[in-house]
Formats: sequence, structure tokens, C-alpha cells
Amino acid sequence: MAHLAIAVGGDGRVSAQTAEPQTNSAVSAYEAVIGLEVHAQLLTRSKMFCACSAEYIGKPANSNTCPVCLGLPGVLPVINRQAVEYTVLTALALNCEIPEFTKFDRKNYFYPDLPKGYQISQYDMPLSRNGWLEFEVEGAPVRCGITRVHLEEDTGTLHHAGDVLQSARSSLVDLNRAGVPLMEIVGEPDLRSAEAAREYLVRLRQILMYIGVNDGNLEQGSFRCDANVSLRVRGSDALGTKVEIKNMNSFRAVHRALQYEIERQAAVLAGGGTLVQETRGWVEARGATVSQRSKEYAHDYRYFPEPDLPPLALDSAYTERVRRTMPELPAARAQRLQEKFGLSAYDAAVLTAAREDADAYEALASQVPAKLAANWLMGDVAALANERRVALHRSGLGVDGLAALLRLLDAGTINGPTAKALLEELYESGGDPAAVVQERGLGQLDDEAALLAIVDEVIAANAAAAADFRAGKEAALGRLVGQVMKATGGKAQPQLVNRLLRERLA
Amino acid sequence: MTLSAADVAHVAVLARLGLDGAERERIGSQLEVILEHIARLQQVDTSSVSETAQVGELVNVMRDDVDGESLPSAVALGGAAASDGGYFVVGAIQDNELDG
Amino acid sequence: MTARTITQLAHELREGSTTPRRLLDNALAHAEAAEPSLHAYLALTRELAERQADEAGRMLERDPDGASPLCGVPMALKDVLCVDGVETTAGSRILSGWKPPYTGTAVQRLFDAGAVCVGKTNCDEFAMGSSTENSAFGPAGNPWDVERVPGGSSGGSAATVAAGTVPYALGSDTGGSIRQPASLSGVVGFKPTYGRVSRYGLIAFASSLDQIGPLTRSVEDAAIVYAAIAGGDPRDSTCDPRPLGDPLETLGRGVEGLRLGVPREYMGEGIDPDVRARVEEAMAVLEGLGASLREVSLPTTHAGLSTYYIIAPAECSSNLARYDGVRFGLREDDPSLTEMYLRTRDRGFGVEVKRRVMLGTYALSSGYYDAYYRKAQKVRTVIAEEFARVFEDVDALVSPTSPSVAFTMGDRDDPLSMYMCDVVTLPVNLAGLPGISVPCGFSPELPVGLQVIAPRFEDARVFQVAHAYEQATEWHTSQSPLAATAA
Repeated sequence: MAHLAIAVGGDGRVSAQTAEPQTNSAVSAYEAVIGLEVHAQLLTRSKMFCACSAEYIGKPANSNTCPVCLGLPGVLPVINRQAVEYTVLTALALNCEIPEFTKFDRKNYFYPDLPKGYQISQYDMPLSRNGWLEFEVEGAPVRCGITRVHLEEDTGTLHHAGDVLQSARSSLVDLNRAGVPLMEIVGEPDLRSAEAAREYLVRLRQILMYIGVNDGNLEQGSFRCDANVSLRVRGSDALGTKVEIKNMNSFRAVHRALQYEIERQAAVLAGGGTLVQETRGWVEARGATVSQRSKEYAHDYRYFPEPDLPPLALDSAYTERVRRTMPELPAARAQRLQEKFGLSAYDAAVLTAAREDADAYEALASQVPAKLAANWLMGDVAALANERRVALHRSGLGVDGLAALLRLLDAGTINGPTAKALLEELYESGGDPAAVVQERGLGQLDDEAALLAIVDEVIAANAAAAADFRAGKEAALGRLVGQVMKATGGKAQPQLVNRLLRERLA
Repeated sequence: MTLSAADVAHVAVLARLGLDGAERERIGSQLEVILEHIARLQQVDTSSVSETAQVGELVNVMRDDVDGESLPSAVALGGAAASDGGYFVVGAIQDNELDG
Repeated sequence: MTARTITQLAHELREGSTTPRRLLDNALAHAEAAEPSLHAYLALTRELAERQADEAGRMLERDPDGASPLCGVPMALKDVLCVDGVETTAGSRILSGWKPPYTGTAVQRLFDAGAVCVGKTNCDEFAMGSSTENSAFGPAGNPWDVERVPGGSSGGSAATVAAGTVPYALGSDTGGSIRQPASLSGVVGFKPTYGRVSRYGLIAFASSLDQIGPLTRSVEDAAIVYAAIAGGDPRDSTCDPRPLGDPLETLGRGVEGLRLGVPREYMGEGIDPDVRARVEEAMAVLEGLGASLREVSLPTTHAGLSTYYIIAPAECSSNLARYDGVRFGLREDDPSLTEMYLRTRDRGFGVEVKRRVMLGTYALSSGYYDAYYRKAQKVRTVIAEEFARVFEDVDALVSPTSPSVAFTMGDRDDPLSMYMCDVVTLPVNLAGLPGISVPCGFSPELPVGLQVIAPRFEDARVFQVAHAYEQATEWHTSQSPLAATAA
């Protein structure tokens, strides 16, 4: 069955057509070389160089500024200690080296969202270098180098009439975000596929959220990603023309954009064309990357050391103190839970995807059987959390409430269906499951004699189903079980009902 | 040290100074004279020194992560020649605005 | 009011022979009378001053002994210093009409001490210049001869103190902009050790060189003002938090036994012979007071100007990028953002500012950074190390402040000849040292200044040497023609 593919003609025009062998072989002749650059806002209380709040989302325009982040005449920056610590923590989590001295530099350019006309960033002496990130691509372990992690300040935001910069007659400037601490994480161009890039980002975001420095929100822009993509002939060492890809606002967009770009570049090269070193933006609606610059350019940022800020000397005592605050990282945690609770690798990965979930699991698994806790968390609880948009640890029921509920289930006090019903009922409002069970008499019905009587009644009332079962149709039993459950208001112990029915029908 | 007219024009763009031709010429030739004088920097032996990064000896000057008060938006916008509904306003931003 | 120092006025206020309000009214009247010929002010701040005078009066009444000597004493502020709600222009059209929403630290400390701000003084645009002729609002005159410049960039501050309108004013010094106008106008001008006074609220010119300091009629007054404004500030990361000590404690110690160095390179050709003669006479006075003088050498002095004129423009080209018409100041509106930038900055900046922004941008630009900026910062290290070596053998340095006396307006229209005014002051900024200019005579009728330089954080020693010299001579009692006509 032919599948739809994006094909790019030699003139750069995009068309959707059935995949041709030509495109596939073009891609396979080349190796993709991808490097990712992530900008992650830090979860500090205040901005990088002033005391304005770092929480700017939803505030009225220009209500979260001060003379410093407005870049008024006469003001001076002062470094936020916590931002430095978070960056060092990140660098350590990414196995980077922390140098003896680090300093800030001015990156000079004019743009309306950059109040001072320069961004305070780091150029030649960044806070850290030479680390790596390990993750998996289709089950196989991959390691990607981290070139550097440095610290800088975010810009303000621009709003264009009609939302498209190029055609807007005017733009509105909001400086609420200007000065929010921003960490830049530059990865080595070790990634070889769109899938690898995606997995790199998933893992990186997971780590940043685990260590509590970033909230991982791609849509709101607290976690942003740009990519550099080039192709080279397989087996070659030389690097091809690098194209920068921007405007990818979700993991799916990253994957689609990179896949598109790889195919686009392959088609150009295969057709004998040359690639332009440029910046291209991903346009979701067109499913394509589009050139943002009509010519090659090189920014002249005129970097020089920031004279208003003394350097930072972060000695090993400091680094060790920060290292001691590092929580167990996701990969290590998954491994440990796998061993401790006998989980499968897959289950362990799912249960440790978010730190709060891993915390919830460990708390639960210390009170109820590990498998039970795992099944519930990955199943009904996950579904409910998704549907209600409230994570378990933030819900009214909470981890403790769920533990109490599962203890009742495990002890046989209530049955599965009752437990599920109570979960849904108490999830947001909270409450004491044991008390509720007591008050409403929801305890599981496991009195054999009483159940036997009901079983007999149901068999009598459902002669056809009974006959079907006796004739060998297993499915008919289900209907009878259902009738018994209905007759007991859902409280009968399902396994017991099953056994009694079978005995009676034998 | 010769500064070509193209050099001067390029620097003026980098600095966003809308100099007219006469100004560019005048400033250009004045800069040449100054740069000639400055050339004597090259005579100084700096092989055994490093750049002055900071005049003082301070290191690790940081502030606690405490959030304080921001300006009311009316004050933040108070100096602006053009504002609209709480925003600063600027005109059309060209494609190549970030060049240089 | 004429020629009275802070110390004298503080005494009069406490003994009841005058009041803050009366001092203010006299100062304003004198300023207004002098303005047509002097143009020392860009704005007189009557309303603010009246409020402050009233408050100072209350402070003196409550606690005359505890109140600062500055309480109730009128003063002026160079217009590069931000005052909340008061127009602050930096001498530039691009900030005409701009009112800061905050007050800078050094100024606030004076206000908290009960100071009374008479007005904002005229200066070279963005503190770039040595004559105040670069002010977008017209030059200031020298009270000793109004056809001549008072020096720059803190020319207005120097002029108003020299004219006897106020006993002190704040200025800023990046390459000599307090000391050189003090020298040309016959007053005391002090530049603190870099990092001693907070720069928060000072409209930045060159961040690694700028310092705020006082212009006064006496060395003691300069020490008083310095002590009030100096000290750590959490808003300025380059402001050193180490304890200040009390510079007044050692003020009167004299120079007996002190070793004073005279840099050979600061006394050579390029210094006007008569200026040199006054300075040599001053050195003889110091010797007579018990100091030992010797010649020293700062061999890299010849490269100081070059070093300064890379670093200062480089930093200023970046510091002035914020003047873009978007959030404050002048805007030459245009449908295109780029055109708005180009026209606003073309119209808003004067020619000297443009020159320095161009020079600085060039020095930092791709391909030139190593040859210019990086090289200059290395030469700066050489210069600083030369001072440090010399200070192993001497306690302070003495020299002329300016190669010449006040020149006629319009005389130095060639940029390089103007830059030469600062040839013996700017190395002091490059090394971050404290320096003062104190009057040491006339040539023949125009003031000459003696510069005293000490190691970093030895500000008290600067005052000590300058005070000893001052008290052994009569120059500090001289009055400019304008001061002599004050009420």
C-alpha cells in the first residue's frame, strides 16, 4: 500500500505524493547530523538580574517590570544566586565539567524585545562544558554529548497584528518576560535521526523536571528547542551545510520537522543541487520548513565581558554542596524500582516518567503489593488523572487516600469494581475510603451461603444462559456473573460468584 | 589604518546610526586619525599579561532569590512615546532586522 | 554664602545664623543671576529643593548633633544622575524631557542626609568630553572667564561651585571628568577608588571606568561628601562592600614622612610650562611640609590615551544601545522599525557621542576585537601593574591635573586635541585608583590644579595629602569674579 510522503523538487517546491523509491534511497544514501539547542526557563522566584517575579504568564502587559529589566538609564544587573545553583545542578545531572571561573558577556544586537540592546549571556567561559546525556532509541542505548550549559536572560515578547511577523505593520512589545533566567543547553551533533532527537528531548526535559529546575512546558515556551541539521554522505567525516530549524513547539513538531528537513535536504542533494546555510521555521499548517532568511547572514554580536558583573569562582566545595541536593535521576530510579519491586523495564519506565509519579509509586508500594500498585497507577489512576487534568499527588484523594483504598481492596474488604467506583468518586473531593465503605455498607459480599441463594435465583431466572453454558459456551457465564453482581449491588466477590456458578451449573 | 567608506557605512548600520553621506565622511576621516593614534597600542609588550577582566577583586557577587515589587505598568510605560493598551508599540519589523 | 564651605554652613545652621530655606533662596537667586553668562544648570529644581529644605530644617531641629553636616546645605547634581520624577537628560537631546522613576543610590544617600538639591548641572553629552561644549543644550562657562570652558564633562558642577552658588556638587569621572574641570575652574574635585561609590542611578558611559564624586571648595568638604555617598550597595555588583573607615579621621595628619612620587611622564612636553611651574611650586610646598619627593616612571603612559579610547568607546557603544526610541526618550517615528532606530539615534545623539559609538562598535566588531579591545585590556593591565610597582616605593603620586589651563570655547574642535586634556587623568581611571585635583595657583589668571593619586582603597590618603597642601596655601580662599558678586 503506497503511503503519502513529502517530496521536494530540485527547485525547493514541496508536494505531497505517494512515496517514490527515489526519495527513500536519497535519504538512505546520506547520514543525518543533528544537534539540538534547548533554552529552558528556570523555576526561580525572581528574574535573573532583578527582583521582579519570574512568573510572568498571564500577567497584564508590562506589569512585571522594574527599571533594571526595562533597561532604563542608570540601572545595573545583580546575579540571582538560585539561578546559578540550578544551572550547576543541571550541569552535574548532565555529567558536565564545572570550570574554576565563569563569567557573563554582553551579546549586542538591536531588537524591540531586548531592552538594553544587549543580552547578558555567556560566551567563552560558560558555566559548564563537556557532558553527556544517555537515553534510548527503539530500545537501544544512545549517548549524546552535551557541548555546554550556560546561563543568560530571556527577552520580552512581541505580538504582531495578525500574528505573522513578516506582514505586520506594527508590533506590540511586552517586557514581562524580559530578564527571566534562561539556561541554554547545547548538544553535540551526535544525533542521527528525528527519532533520536525526539528521545533526546524527552529525556532532557524529564531530567530538568526531575531536578526541579524547569516545568517542561513546551506550549508556553518554558522549554524551547532549535535544531541544526545537515547531511553527509554515509561513511564520510566531512560535515554538510548546516540548516537551523526553529519554531518547533511540541515533540511531535520536532519529529515531523526534522523528518521533513532530512528528506528535503536529501532530495536537493540527490538532485545535484546545493543547500543554503540558513534558518528555516517549521510551519505546522503546511507540514514544511520554510526559509526565514533570503540570504546568508552572520550576526556580529560584538561579545565582550560584562563589566557590570564580577566573575563567579565556583569551587569544588560549592559544586559538591549542589551535587548533594541532586535527587535520584530517572534512569537510576527506574533501574532501582525494577530491581526492588520486580517490575518490568517497561513498567518501571512508565512509573518513573515523572518524579511525582515515581514518588507516588514508591509510597504506595510500601503499603500494598507492588504489582497491585503498579497496575492501578498505570491503569485507572493514569486514565483518571488524564481525564480530570489533575495528577494524583495534587488530587483530593492523594497518594495516601489511594493507599488506603488499595489496602481495602487487597484485604478483600471491597471488590475491584467497588474500588474503581470509589476511586472515581473520591479522586477530586478526597475522603476516607474506609469510612465511606463503612457508612454505605460497600463491603464485599463474600458470605457463601447468602451468595449461593442469589446464585440459585439467578440460574433459575436465566435458564437460557444456564443452558448455553452447560452446552459449552463459556461466554454465557459472564452474563450470569453480571446478573449476580447486579443482584448484589455490585458488592459480590467476583471470584467467589464465578466458582459458585460453576459448581451449581456443573 | 584606512577605513573604507564601506567600513564606515557598515559600522553605522551595526550601531543603528542613520548618518548621511557627509556625516559618514567626516566622522570616517576623524576616526581614521584617532585609529592612527590608537595604533601605538601595538607597540606595548603585552606578552606576559592577561586582559583586565575586572578592575576590582570581587567575585561571586550575587543576590538571594527573593521577589520584590515591580513597577505599575503605567509607570513602566510612562516614558514611552508610543504605547497601546499596556504595550510598547513599534513599527514594521523587516525580515533582516537582526542582520548586524 | 560666598565661598563658604559645607563645614562653615553646617556650623551656621546649627548656631542659628541661617536656615536651610534661606540658604536655598540665596543659592537659587545666585544661580539665576549667573545663568545667562554661566549656563551651569540645565534645570533648577525649586520645588524639590523647597521640600528638602523644609525637611532638613525639621531634621536639624530634632537632632542637630546627630544630623549630617550636609543637612540643610544646598548642592547640585550633574545631569547624569537619576532623580525620581526630575528631568534627567545626560546633556543629550535623546533624553530631553525624560523623568526617571527612581533615584540613584549615591544621590539618595545625600537626600537621606538632608541635602537640598538646587538643580541639575550642565555636562558634556553622556559625559563624553572635556569642556562641556558637547552638551546638546549649549556650553557652560568658566566663572574665571566666561568665554572659556570650565572643563568637562562635569563642567556645570565645577562652574556652579566655583561661582559660589553652592558649596558642593556631584559629578562623574570616567577619564578625568571631575578632576579636569575642577582644575580648570579652581575647585577641588575627587574621583573615588573604582567601586567605592555605587553607580546605580548614574547614566552609564563606560562601566569599568565611571565613578561618582564630589566637587567642592575644600578638601575636607570633599571627604565629607565622599563619606556620605560611599560604601557597599546591593544594587551595584561592582561596588565593594568592604568597610569605609572614616576619611576625616586621618585628614589632618599631614605629610611628614610620606613618600611622594612624581611621574616623569606626567611632567614632560605636552604640559604647558607655566602649569608645570605651578605644580613644581606645589611640590616644593609639600617638601617643606616634610614629604619626600622623588621622580618615578610610568613608562606606558604614552599608550594610556589609546587604551582609554578603545575601552571607553567600546563600553559606551553597548551602554548607549538602549537609546532606541522604544521605551523612553526621543523617538523619530517611522513605519519601519529600522528607520525609527536610525533616525532616532541620528537625531538624538550629538557628533562626539556618534564618534565614540562608532569607534567602540568598530573596536568590538568581528575581526577587530583582538587587535583593539583585547589588546587594550591587556595594555590596561600593564598600566595598572606599573602603578602598583611604583606604589611599592611611594605612598602617593603628585602631578598636574590638566596639561593646560581653561581654553577658549571653540578652540579645540579637533577631537584628538580635546582628548589630550585627559592624558594625565585617564590612566587613574584605567587602574581604578583614587585621585583628586586641588587648586595650586594661577597661570597667569586662570586656575591650575595639582593632582594627587593613591593606591586603590587609599582614598583617605589622597585627602590627607591634598588637605595638608591646601592648608599650607591660600588658593582655597580665592574667589572667582562671579563668586565675588554673590550676595
